[in-house]
Amino acid sequence: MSFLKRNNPHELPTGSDLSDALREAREEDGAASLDRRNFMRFLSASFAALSAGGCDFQPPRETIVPRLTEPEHAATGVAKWYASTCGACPAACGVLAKTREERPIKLEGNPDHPLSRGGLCARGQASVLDLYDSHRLKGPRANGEAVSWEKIDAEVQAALQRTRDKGKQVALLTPTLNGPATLSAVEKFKAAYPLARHVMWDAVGPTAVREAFRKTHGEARLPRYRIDRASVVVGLDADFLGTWLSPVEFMREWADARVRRVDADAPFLHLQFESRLSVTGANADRRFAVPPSRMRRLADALLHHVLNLKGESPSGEAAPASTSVKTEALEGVARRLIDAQGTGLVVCGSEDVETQTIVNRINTTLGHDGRTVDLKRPSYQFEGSAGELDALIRSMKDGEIGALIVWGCNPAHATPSRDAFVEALKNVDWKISLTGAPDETTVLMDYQCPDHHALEAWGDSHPAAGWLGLTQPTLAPLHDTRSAAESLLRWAGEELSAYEHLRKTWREEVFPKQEEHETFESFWAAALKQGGWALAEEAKAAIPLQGGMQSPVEPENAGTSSSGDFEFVAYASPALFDGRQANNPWLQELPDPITKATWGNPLLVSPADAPELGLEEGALVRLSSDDTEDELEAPVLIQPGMPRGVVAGALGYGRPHAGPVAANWPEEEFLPLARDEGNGTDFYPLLNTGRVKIQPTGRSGLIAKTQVYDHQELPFTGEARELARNVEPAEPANKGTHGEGDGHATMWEGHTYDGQKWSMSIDLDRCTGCSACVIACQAENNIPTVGKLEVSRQREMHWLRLDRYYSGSEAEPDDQPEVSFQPMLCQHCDHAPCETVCPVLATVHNDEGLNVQIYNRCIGTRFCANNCPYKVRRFNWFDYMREEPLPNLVLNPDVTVRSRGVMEKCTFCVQRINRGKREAGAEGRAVADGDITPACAQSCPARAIVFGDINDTDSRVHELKDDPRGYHVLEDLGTKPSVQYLARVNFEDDVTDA
Amino acid sequence: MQFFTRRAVSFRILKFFLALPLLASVDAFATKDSPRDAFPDAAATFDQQCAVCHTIGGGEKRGPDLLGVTLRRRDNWLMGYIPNAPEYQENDPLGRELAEEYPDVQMPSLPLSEEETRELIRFLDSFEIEPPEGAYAPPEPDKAATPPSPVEEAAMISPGGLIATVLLLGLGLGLWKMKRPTPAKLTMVLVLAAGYWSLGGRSVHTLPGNDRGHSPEQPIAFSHKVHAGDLGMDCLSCHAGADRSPVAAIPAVENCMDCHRTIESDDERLKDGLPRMERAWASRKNGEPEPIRWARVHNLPDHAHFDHGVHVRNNMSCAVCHGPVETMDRVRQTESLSMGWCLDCHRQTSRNQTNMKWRTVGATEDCAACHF
Repeated sequence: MSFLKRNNPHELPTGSDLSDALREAREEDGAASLDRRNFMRFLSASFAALSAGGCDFQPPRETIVPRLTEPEHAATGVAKWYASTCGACPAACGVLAKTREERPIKLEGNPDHPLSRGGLCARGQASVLDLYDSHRLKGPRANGEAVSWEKIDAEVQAALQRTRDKGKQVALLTPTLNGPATLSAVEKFKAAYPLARHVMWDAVGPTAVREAFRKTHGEARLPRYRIDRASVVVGLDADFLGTWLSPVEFMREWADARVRRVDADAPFLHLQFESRLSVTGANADRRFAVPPSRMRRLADALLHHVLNLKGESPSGEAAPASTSVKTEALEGVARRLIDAQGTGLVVCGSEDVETQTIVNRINTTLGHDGRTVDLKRPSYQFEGSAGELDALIRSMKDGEIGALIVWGCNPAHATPSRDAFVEALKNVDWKISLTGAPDETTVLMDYQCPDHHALEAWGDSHPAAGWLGLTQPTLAPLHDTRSAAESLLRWAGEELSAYEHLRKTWREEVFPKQEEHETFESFWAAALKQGGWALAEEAKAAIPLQGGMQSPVEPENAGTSSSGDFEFVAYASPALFDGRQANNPWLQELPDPITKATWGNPLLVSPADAPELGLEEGALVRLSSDDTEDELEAPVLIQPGMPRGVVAGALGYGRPHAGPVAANWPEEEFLPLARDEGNGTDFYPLLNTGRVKIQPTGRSGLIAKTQVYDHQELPFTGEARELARNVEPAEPANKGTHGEGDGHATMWEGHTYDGQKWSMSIDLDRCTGCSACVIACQAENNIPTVGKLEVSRQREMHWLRLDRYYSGSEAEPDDQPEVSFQPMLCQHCDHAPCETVCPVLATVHNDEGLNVQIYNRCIGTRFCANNCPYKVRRFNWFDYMREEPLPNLVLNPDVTVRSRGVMEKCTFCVQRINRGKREAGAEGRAVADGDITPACAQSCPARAIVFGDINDTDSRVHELKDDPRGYHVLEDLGTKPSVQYLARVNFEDDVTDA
Repeated sequence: MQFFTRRAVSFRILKFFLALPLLASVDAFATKDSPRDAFPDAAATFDQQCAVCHTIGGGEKRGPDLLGVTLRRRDNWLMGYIPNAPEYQENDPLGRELAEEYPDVQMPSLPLSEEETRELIRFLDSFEIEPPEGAYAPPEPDKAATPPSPVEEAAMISPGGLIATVLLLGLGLGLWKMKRPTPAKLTMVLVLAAGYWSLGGRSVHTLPGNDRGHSPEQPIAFSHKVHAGDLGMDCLSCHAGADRSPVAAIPAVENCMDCHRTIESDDERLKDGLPRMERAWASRKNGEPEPIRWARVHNLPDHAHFDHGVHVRNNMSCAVCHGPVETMDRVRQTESLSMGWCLDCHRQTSRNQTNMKWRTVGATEDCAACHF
C-alpha cells in the first residue's frame, strides 16, 4: 500500500523533460546541488516542456459513468449510513458505516448501541482502511494456485470426508465467536463431521478471568464489570481504558463517573497498580508501579488487608507485606474499598490465573458480585482459552488431527507456542485457512478460502447478555471472497448463503424471544436499522464463591524464564492491539498515547535503569531469554513510570507476512531505511516470559516520536506554562485567566459574529488520551500518512494531535509521573497570528469564527506555521501520492486532497458544518445544537469534546462557556481561541491517610 | 472583510484590460424581435389576465414585478402556479411566502391551457433584463448560446492587446538602442506573443481554467434540445439529485430505459444511440457491465465544492449556470465557471444586501463555503 512515495525522482513528475534534466544534472555533478549552468538547463527544459505541450490549456478529459440501475433511495453525492458491528476486535462495538456511492468511507460509533454508546476506538475507525488493503487475499487458492470456489469446495470436502473416514479429528480454530448464527454454522459443521472440535483462542484478551471464575465459582464466566455502578475502582494491570476487554464501554462509564464527581460530588476514586505506564494508569487518581512478578503477592496482601479490616481473617495473621507498595498505602486502598460498601470494583488484567482467583475473592468478600461484577448478565466478548490452544497443539503433534481449519486468528505468530504450532502443523494432513487477510498462519496453509472483511459480510455477535449485534454488508465484496460461515455451511452440505443462514437463525432463535414485532420482516428491518436487538435475556444463575481463602502457594508469578536482570512485560498497544491490523498505515502512524512513538515498538526502560546500563534513548539493545533462541533487537525508549527492573514492549509489530506496511515499506525504492530499523520488533516469543537479559549493542535504532519534549515547563528557564491544566477540586479553576489577553495591542480590528460562531469545548477531565479522535480526523479529512522517516523529522500530518505531558514531585519526578493529556488542534483564534503573516491571504477569518485555509491560494511560504503558537499547522512537503487505486476508495469526496506545497490544518470539519447547514436549510429550519458534530467529537468514547454555536444560547458549548474550569491555552498571547479547555480536576488521595 | 474590497479593486482594473478585446466582439447592430412581436398571443393574455396586478419591468403593482420571474422561479413551478395559484398559496412554501408578502390580493387561478401557460412563460422569459442598481444581472443567454466560431473569433482583433503590443515594441526598441540586447530580446519575445494573442491566437488557445465553449463529443448523441426543449421535460426528471444533493448526477441507464422501452424506435435519430443504450441495459445482468461513459462537460477543479441542492432549492434556474440547454443538441459549457464568475453573482445577491427579495437566503462570500 504505497501511500507514500518519497524518494527523489518522485518529487518531480516522472518522465517529463523537467525531471529528466534535473536527474541528468545530478548525475553529472554527482550531487544534488544545482549550479548555475544546470539551473539554466533546468529552466530551459521547463520552457521546452511547456512549449511541447503547447500553450493550449484543454479542459481535462473526464468521463462520468452513471449506474445501470438506480438503487433504492440512492442519490449521488449524499451519504448513506448503515448500522453494523465493528469487526476489529471481539468487543463488538456498534458502528455506523458512512457510505458514499456504495463504498464505505468512514466508521462512526452507533449511539444506539448499549455498550459503546456512540464511541469507537482508533482501531475500529481504522478498520475501514483494512477493507481497501490491496494485500488482502483476493480469492481462493489451493496449494498456491488460484482456483475457483467450486474446485476448492470439492477438494476441501473430499479432504474432510477422508479425515472423517480415517477416524481423525477435524479441528476448527477461531477467535471468540458468540453470535447465534455464527455459532450455529459452527454447530452444523460439527454435526457433519462428528469428530470435529472447535477451539476458541484469543491472542490477547482477558482469558485468565474465565479460568479463575471456573476455579473460584465453579463456572467459567467473564463478568461484565460495571464501572458505572462503582465508586472505587482498583485496577491491577488492567488497561481497561486502553485495550483491556471493552475499553470503549469502560471509557464512557469512567468519564461519566469522573464528571459526576466534579458536578454532583458523587464519590469516585480510581487507583491503579501496574507494571508499566498504561493509559489507564496515566489517568488514575493514584498510581503505583509494581513489577509484574509482585502482582500476585500484592493481590494477596490486599485480600488480607481487606479481611483483617473486616475482621474476617481466617487465621488472624497480619497481612503479608507487599514488596513494592507500602503497607499503609495498601491498607488505605483496602479501607477505601470497604468504605465503598459493595460499590467498589477490583479489576485485574493479569494473565496469571492465580492472581485472578485472589482478585475474585476480594470482589466476593466485599460484596461486589452481582453489583459491580455482574455475573448474571455476563460478557461474552472474550471466550477464548490459551490452554485449549496448547491442548490442540498437543493433539496435532500426536497426529490426532487430520484437518485443521483456522479462521481469523494467527497461531503461527501471535503466541509463544508458535514454534510448537508450526512444528505440529507438519503432522496435520489438510490445512485450511478461512482468514481474509494474509498472515503468518495463512501462508502455511494448503487451502486458502478467504473470508470477507466485516464491512462486506453478514454476521452477528453477542458481546454481552442483553444485546445481539448484527453485521451487515456496506458494499458488494471487492474481491472473490466468501463469508467464512458460508464456507463452513457449504462444507457441511448446507447450500445456504450467509445471509439466508443468518435470517433463518434469527427467525428461529431471536424472533420468538421478542414481543414488539408481529412479523419477522418488520422485526428484521428494525433490528438491521439499529444494528442489533436488545434482548431481555434471562439472568444466569448467580454463582457463589467456592473454596476457602488460602494464600497462593507461590507468592511470586515468576513467568517461564527465570534468568536475567529484567522482568519483561509484553502489552497490547492501543494502536495495534494484538497485531491483526499491522498492515494499516493509519494505525502504524498513530502515536502510542504514552510513548508517542510511531511505526515501531521501542523497548520501554525505566529512567532509573537506563543510566545504569549506559543506555540513551534510541540505543539498540539485544534481548535474550530462556524462552526463545531468537535474539530480539529493539531501540530503547526511556519511559517514566516504569518500575525499576522492568522493561516493556508492545505486541503486534514486526510481523513478516502481514504486508508491506507492517514491514514499514520494505520495497527498496520507497525505503531508505535498513529493514531491521523499520520493521518493529516481534515480542510474541516473550509474551509469558518472566525475565530477560539486556545487552547494549552499541548501535542505535530510529524511534519516530511525534512529541520530543515531555514537560510543560519551558526548557532552560523552567518557567511553567500550564497548557494542560490540573486543578484541585476546591480551586476556582480558570484562576481568572479569562480575559488575560485583553490588554494586548492587536493588529486586528476585531470581528463581529452576527450569526453563528463555532466553538469547541474540550473537557480534560474526561479525556483519557486514547487517540480515537486522531484516527477519526484522519479518516474524515483525507490526511495522508508519511512514513517513519518523515515522522522522525516531525513532518507528520495529523491535524489533531494528543499532547502528553509529565509532571511530578521534585524528589522522584520520573518514578511517579503525573500524566496530562491534551488534544491539540487548530484553536481557530479570533486574533489569529497565522492570518496576519500570510502574504497571499490563503488563511483568512470567516463570518462564523473559522480560521479557514484556502488550499488553492496557498503558495507554501509556511510563515503561518512559524507564527502559530499552538503548532497545529501541517505542511505538505511532498505529494503523498496514493498510487494504488484501491486504498484511494477510502477518501472522503467532500474534502480536497491536498497537494505538495500547501499548508493545511484543522477546519472544525467545515464540510460537516456545511452539510449540517444544508440539511437544516432543506428542512426549512435553523441549525440546531447537535446537528453539527466534527469527526473528533463524534467518535470520542469519553464524550470529552463538545462543539456548537456559542452564539446560540441553548447550545451546550454556550452553557460550558462560563464553566469555572474553563480556560484557553496560552490565553496571555491574546489570540482569543475558539477552543476552550476544561481543566482536569485532581482529586488528590494519598490513600495512606486513612 | 477588507481583503475582499482590496481584491475587488484589483479585479476591476484587471477586468478593464480584459474587457478591451471584448469590445470588438460586441455586435452593435444586432436587432431582435421585441417579446410582444415574438409572442403576440401570450402578450394578449398578459394584457388581459395579468396586467391588472403585474408589470414587466414597471415595478410592483398589486403583485410583484414579473421581469426576470423565469430566473427566480423554476419553469415547472410556474407551470403549476399560474393555473392554480390559490392552491399553491395554501400548500406550497413559496406560494405561502407570496401570500404573506402580498396579503391584500389573492391571485386567482387563470383558465389557461398547458400550451398557453408555457407560451406565457416563454413570453415572460424573453424580456431583456436591465438590472437595477445592486441587482444580479443574469448572463445573456443568447450570446452565451452562440459563442462565436473560432473563425469569427479569429477575425476579432483585440484593440487593447494591440496597444499593449505596440507599447512593448517601443520598450523593446528602446532597450535595443540602449545597448541592452538580452532584455530587448526577451521583450521582443513578449511582443510576438502579445501580437499573436491579440490578433486572434486567443481563440485557438484558451487560458487555463476557462473552459467556456467546451462541448465534447458524447458516446451517444443524446439531445437535450429534444428532451428538455421539444418534449419540455423538467431538468429534475432526469437529474433527480440536483435539488437534494451537492451533485446533479447523470441518470442511470434505467432512467432512460423507463421511457425508451416503450416508445417507438424507428426514429432516424435513435438509430445509433438506442442500440448502445440497450446494450448497456442488457449488460446489467451479465456480470460484465458496459456502462455508458459520458464525457464530462462542466468540471470544477477539485478544490472547489459546488452544491447543486442549495442553489436549486433557492430557486435558481439551471440556465443561470448551464445556459439554454434546451436549445442544445450537444451540451456546451456556456459560462466560464471561474471563481470570479461565481462571485459576480454571489456579491450581487450577498446575504448582506437586503434589497434582494428573490432569494430566500442570501448568497455567501465565505471562502469556506466552497473551498475545504
